[in-house]
Amino acid sequence: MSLKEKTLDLKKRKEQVLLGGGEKAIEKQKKIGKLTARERILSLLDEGSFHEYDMFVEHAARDFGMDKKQLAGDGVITGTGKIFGAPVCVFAQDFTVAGGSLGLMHARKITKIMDHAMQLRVPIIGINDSGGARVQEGVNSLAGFGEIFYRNTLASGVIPQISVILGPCAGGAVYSPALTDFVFMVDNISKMFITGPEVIKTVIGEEISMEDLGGARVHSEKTGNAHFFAETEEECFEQIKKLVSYLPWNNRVKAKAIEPKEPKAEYKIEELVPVDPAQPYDVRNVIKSVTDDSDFFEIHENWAANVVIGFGRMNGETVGFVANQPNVLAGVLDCDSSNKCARFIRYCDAFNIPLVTLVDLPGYLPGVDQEHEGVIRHGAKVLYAYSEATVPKITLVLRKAYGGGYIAMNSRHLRADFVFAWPTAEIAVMGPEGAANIIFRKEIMEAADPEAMRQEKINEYREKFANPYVAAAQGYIDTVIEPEETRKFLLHALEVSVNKREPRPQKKHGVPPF
Amino acid sequence: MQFAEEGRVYTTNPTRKYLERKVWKQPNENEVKALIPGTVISLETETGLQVKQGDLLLVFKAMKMHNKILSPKDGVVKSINVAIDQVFKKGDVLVVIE
Repeated sequence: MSLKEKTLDLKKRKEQVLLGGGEKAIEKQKKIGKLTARERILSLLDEGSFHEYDMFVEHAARDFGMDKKQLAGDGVITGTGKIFGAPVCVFAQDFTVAGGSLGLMHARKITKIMDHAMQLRVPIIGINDSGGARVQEGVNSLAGFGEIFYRNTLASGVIPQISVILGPCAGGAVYSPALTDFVFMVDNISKMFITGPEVIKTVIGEEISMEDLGGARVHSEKTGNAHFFAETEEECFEQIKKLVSYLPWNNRVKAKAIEPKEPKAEYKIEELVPVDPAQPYDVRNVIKSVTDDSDFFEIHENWAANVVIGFGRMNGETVGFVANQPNVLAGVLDCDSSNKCARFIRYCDAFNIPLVTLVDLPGYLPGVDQEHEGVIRHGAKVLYAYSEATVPKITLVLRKAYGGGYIAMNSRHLRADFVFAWPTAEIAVMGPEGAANIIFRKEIMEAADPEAMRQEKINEYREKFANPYVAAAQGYIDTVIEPEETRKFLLHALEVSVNKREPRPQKKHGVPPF
Repeated sequence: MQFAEEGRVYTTNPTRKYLERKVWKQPNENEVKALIPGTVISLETETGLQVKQGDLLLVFKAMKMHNKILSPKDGVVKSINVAIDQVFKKGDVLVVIE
C-alpha cells in the first residue's frame, strides 16, 4: 500500500469509530434530549482543542457471543483538550455503544486518561452516561470500577476532579462521582442511585419513580450529592467552564489570576445588612459587594442553603467564601450545612485557595431529629476543617456570633489569620435572651414583676456583652471596622497573607469525624 | 426477618433503626410545610387570594430571627392553618396553595 492508501485506510477506520453505536442508537439518544458523547466533549472544550486517544481499543468480552460484536472505542471516548486555554483530560461514556456499559478495556481507557491527568498534573473531567457494569465481562468489570475508584482517591487533593452525570449512573458506578470534587447534573437527564426503583420495590416494598429517587433535583436539593443543577446540557457545560476558570491546575500552583476590577456600584455594603439582628437578608449580596466585579460563583446553591459557599475573585485571584445565610433557616449550622461547608473548606485548603468567612448565625439548630442524625459528629467537621486548613483564613463577623457557632466559624481559636468585626457584631456565649434567663434567674424569679425584670436584664446584658468590643478587648478579634472599609481590609489581609506558612506536626493523616 | 434481593431470599436480623424508619411518601406539592419549629409573627395573605411564586405568605420567629415563608408556586390560597402567635412544629402544614 502506498502512503496515500494507508492514510485512506486510517481515515476509514476512524470513521467507523466516529459512528459510535450507529445511527439508530444515536437517534434514540437524541430523542430523549441527550447529546452524543462526542458532541458533549466538543461543546465543553475550546474549539479545535480536543485530541482523542485509544480510538482503536477493542473490547475484551469473549463469552455469550460478545466476541463477534464490534464496540466502537469500547463505549468510551478519552482525550485531552483545553478550557479557556487551561489543559484538561477528559473522558465521556458513549451510551450508544452497548449502553455505555463498563467492561475491562472501557475501564482501562478511563484509568489510562486518569493516569495521564495525574502525570501531567491537570484537571480531569468525566462524563458519565452508562448502564453500569458490563455483565458479560463479569468480575473484570468490577475490577475496572475498583481501579477507577482507587485512582479517584489518589488524585483527590492533587488535581481537580469533575464528574458530569448525563444519563444513568447506577450501582457501583456512582462511587466514582462521589469520590470526585464536583458533580454536575441536568434535569430529567441525569440519574444517580445505588439501587434503582425496581430493586427497592422488590426488597422493601417502597414505590418511587427514578426521578424522585435519584434525579438532578433530588441530588441538588435533598442529598447534596450534586453540586450543580442545570436545566439543559448546554447550561451544564457553561457551569463547568466557569468552575474550571476558578481552579488551579493542581495542588502545587495557584489558580490563574485575572485583571482585578472594583465591585459593581449597585451593591452598597452599608445598606445590605439590617442592624436588628432578628431581620433576615441575603448574605450573597454582601459577598458580591466585596468581590471583583461583584462576581460570585455559588456551589451547592439549592442544598443546605442556610450556609452559602462558592468562589469569587479579589484582586483578580480566586477566593473561597463561606457565609451563614440569615435568609434561610436563620442561618443556623445543622447536619447538612456542616457537611457542605466542611468539605468546601478542605477543598480550598487542598488547592491553595484562601478562605473568607462571613459570620452571622444564631448557633447550631436545636431539635431531636438533628441530635439523632448525629449533628455532634457533623458539626465537628466544620471545626476540624477550619483548624486543619493552612491557607490564609480571614473572618468577618457581621452580626451574631454566639457560642459553639462563634468558635466553629473560623474563629481566632481555630487559627484564623485575621478576624474583623462590624460594629453590629454580637460576639457572646449566647444571645441576650438566653443569657439573661440563666445569669439573672434568681433576680427575675424574685422580682415583683418578673417579665419587666427579665426585659431589663436582657437589655443590660445586650448593652454590656452583645457587641464586638468584649472580644476585641481580649484580642480575639483584630479590629472593628466600618462596613465601607470591608473590601479594603479583606484585600489587604489577603495580600499580606500571600506567603503564609503554618507548619503542622508530622502525621500520616488525621482522622476527621467522617 | 426475610430479605429478598435479586431472586435470593436471606434470613437476617433487622436493626431497630431499620424497623422504625419513615417510609417515603410522595410529597404533596400544594402544602407549604414548616422546616423548623417557630412562632407566627404575621400573616401576609388570605384564604382565596391569588399568589405568585415567591410572594410572601407569612413571617415567623425561630432561632431569634424573623423568617419569611414564600410561596413555592403560583396558585390560590386554599387554607391557612396557623394564626398569629401560634407555635408550630417542624413538618406542620402552614399554608395550602392550589
